[in-house]
Amino acid sequence: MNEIRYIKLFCFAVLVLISGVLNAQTAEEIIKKADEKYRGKTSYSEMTIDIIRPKWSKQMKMKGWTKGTKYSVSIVTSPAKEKGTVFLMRDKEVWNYMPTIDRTIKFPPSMMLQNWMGTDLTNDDLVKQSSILEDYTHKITGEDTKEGFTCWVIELIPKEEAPVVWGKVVIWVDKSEYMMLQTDYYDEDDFLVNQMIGSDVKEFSGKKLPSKLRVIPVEEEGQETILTYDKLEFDIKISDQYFTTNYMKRIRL
Amino acid sequence: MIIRNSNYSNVLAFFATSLRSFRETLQYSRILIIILLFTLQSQAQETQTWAKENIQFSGYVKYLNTSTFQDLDAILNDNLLHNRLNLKVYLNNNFTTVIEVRNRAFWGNSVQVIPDYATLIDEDIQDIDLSVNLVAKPAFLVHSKIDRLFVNYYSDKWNITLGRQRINWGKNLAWNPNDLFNAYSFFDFDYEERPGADALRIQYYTSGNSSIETAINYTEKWKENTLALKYNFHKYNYDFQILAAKYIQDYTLGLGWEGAVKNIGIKGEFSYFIPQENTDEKDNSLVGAISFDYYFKNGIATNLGTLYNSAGVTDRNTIELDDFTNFQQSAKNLMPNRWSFFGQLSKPLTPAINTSFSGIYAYELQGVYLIPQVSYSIAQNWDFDLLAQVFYGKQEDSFDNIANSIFLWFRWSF
Repeated sequence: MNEIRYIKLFCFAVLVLISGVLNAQTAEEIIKKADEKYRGKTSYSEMTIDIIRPKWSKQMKMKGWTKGTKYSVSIVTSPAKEKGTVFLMRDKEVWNYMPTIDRTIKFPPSMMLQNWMGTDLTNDDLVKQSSILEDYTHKITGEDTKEGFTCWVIELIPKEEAPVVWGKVVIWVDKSEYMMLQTDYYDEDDFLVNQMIGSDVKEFSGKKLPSKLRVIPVEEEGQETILTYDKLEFDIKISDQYFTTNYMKRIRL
Repeated sequence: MIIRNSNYSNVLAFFATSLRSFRETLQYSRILIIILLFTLQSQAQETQTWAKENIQFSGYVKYLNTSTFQDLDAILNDNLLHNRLNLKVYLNNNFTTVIEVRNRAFWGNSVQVIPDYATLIDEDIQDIDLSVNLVAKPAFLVHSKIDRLFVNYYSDKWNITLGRQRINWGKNLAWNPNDLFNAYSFFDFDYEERPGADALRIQYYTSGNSSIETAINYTEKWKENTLALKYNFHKYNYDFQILAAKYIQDYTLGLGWEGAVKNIGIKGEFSYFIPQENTDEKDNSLVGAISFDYYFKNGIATNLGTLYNSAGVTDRNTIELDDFTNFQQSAKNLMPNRWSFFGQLSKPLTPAINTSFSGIYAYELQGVYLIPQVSYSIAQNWDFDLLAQVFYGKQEDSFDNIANSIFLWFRWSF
């Protein structure tokens, strides 16, 4: 009897272990696939950002180029006062070029977690410095439907020492197109802080992706930032030269 | 009759032919006109598209009101309407040309009270005069200045600029000993662009993140100009610059950097000045500035810095009034005293409202400058700012409020 119980228990343990391992791999793979889809090898985007507050709003427009996970550069094209401001990210370093005073400023790392130009996004969200792949462990926790797509619900827990402010991140990835349709950000005390909700799925360079992302600070009523992709192209040829401090002064509006 | 008839028919035929040919001509010219119109139109469209893609026009209009007082027995009130026009034209892939104009209209107490205010306003730091007082009445003044006027050539390896331009070599927020061509004064918040230098600047890119550059500015007396060589490079996640220059009446060696220790940003600039022979000054001097910046998770940003000027005065009692009234800020002389400290705290309260509080302490002068500021972004292109400059200093035995200024401005950007 004891033996059988032991064997049963052993089999169960092995199964749990295997499924755990399989699950972990799968969750990571899903995130990897979704992340790669969203980035492409290279990308070019034109974006409108609406900052919404209960009695106030502001609209910004920008253009951005990315290459792999390490290089990104973007330029503000509107409003007039900030027009021409350039942000460059190379690996873990970030620079900011201000044309009015013709000066390039290097951001201290602590600046990355600041809100970017009054939006509900941090600088880090914008330049994607922290990696949802490398800085977290991943686990599938369930299934759900978002925007009419069946999604995996994947939980991300930051690794120790990872430069991440969140205690937990939950991502909804749809099973057919690998789109990240919703992301919930929890603080270290497990309170839901921010939600990023994707909608208006469109085809960009043959890839289906949400063209609108709403970033909502859950605690603040009537407050949100809406990102709309006006243009999104993938795997175009972008020279490495684009992502240098010398070139950032040259990027055109 | 027949003849007539035939004549008539001939005439008719003639007319008919003429008419036909006229019609043909008409048709032809119509086609021609259409082609012409089409060409013109497409040309106009081309010009329009070209202009849209290659011409950038921007600027702002700002109304600034200043109230200056020591106690409330008298308040000096000044008004300034300030307009900036920036035009940038991309001539082709390599050439760009820029012209920027600064127009200002002054009225209020200072214009009336300060003798020769018009001359004071029109005083250029450059030797090429590109400014003019359009109106100079006892109570009203309009001044216009070409602030930038240059041609830029750019290729993969070269970046060459000739004309009135800003050469910004500073790294710190408050004090920039490396900024040889155009030292910035933290107090002069109303002129963020800074006056340009009339110069030739040649940059050669040794890689994407490193370069060698040289710049020379024009002055009427050549021995008072600046000729500098700078090497920029990136190593160990730091941006470095090394410079050597003939700086006005000195020889200068400099070093500057930007980087971080853990999460704290650290920036530094040092310049060592060696007076040339046959100048009044004999002593070498060192000017150095270091600053730290850190952003807290709650959004508060801090910047702490210090400035050392070895030639600065160390004894308060030796300071003469002239030291202040004749004090001209330059990379060599950013503060008249030896040790100065700077601190700034800033925090955005909402996306629309930003607040900051800055302070400068001039140790030997025992002077304290406090600068609180509130910025409000009213609407898309409208801003409102309120800023105060409060000066405290030690006089005799007591520490007194010496002067105060309150500035408020509205700005519309386009």
